[in-house]
Amino acid sequence: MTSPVSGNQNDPERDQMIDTYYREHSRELWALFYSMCSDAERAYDAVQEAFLRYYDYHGEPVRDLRAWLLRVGQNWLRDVARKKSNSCGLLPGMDDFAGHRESAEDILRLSERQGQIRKAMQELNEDDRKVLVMKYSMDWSAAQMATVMDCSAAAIDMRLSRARRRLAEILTEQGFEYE
Amino acid sequence: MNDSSNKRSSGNIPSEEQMDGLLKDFFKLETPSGLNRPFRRPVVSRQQDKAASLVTLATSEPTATPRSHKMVVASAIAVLAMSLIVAMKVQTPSSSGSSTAANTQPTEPTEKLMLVSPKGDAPSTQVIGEDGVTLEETDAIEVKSQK
Repeated sequence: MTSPVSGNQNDPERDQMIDTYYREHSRELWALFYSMCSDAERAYDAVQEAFLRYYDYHGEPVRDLRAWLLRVGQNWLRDVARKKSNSCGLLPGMDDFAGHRESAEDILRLSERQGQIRKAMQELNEDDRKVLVMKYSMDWSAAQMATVMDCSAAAIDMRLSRARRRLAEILTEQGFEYE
Repeated sequence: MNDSSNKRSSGNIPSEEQMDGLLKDFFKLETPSGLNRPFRRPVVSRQQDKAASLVTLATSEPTATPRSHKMVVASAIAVLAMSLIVAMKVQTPSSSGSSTAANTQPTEPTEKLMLVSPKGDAPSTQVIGEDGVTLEETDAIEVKSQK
């Protein structure tokens, strides 16, 4: 998508365009950032940062907004990784349980499971992680993923299958208890 | 056969279907809920903009600062003019201009002339004042006073 204008922050058309773009693409951007860092909160921060920077951007019109946002988010993730800043947020996924009726033990158990899977995901290579994220976070088809990954749909299916198997092996090695 | 073996759980390793369900649940919880909300406007940056515009307005408005500058300049000019006038007044006696000199010169010489002689400084025994002072007497007095 090409951004029509850049610069003027008080332009309602531009605000509207950013809102629409965020609604349509923030999830995809998050998934791509997540596949890079395996940290849901950090990936979300990268999405916010990319959109905020675009909001404050006063330069020349952006030709490919998706590529622009991806580049900004990636750079931000690299900077954060370089600084080795340790976030001290809530337990991963804990805020999603707000208002639910699960007991504290159930919440803790679920959180531990999430942590184990997250850790196993980090051991996958980036491409394997990327196909899993695109498949399960965005529910993309093999053809859609093939476009992004620049390969055939069959290759995507193979990679997906291999990534799942590899993840299962890692989880088993970690002593993960399947339900 | 391959397909069925793929889907079958071998030992402790889960089947692909199990992994499929596990990953769906995992990403359902992992995805931040904020992604479903609309983009949050950077309120802070807009406030900063407002502050910046206020600052710009304040600096661009011609208020007390230029006026005080004018007053300072005017008072400096006044002081300079006053000092010039004073300096000129101080300089006038020593500089002896043509017109003023004509008025001031007669005072000193007339005093001398009156004391010594109205015809110059030639010695004379004539009385030069009403009190009977002669030029010779005057000379004698001056000599004595130097001793």
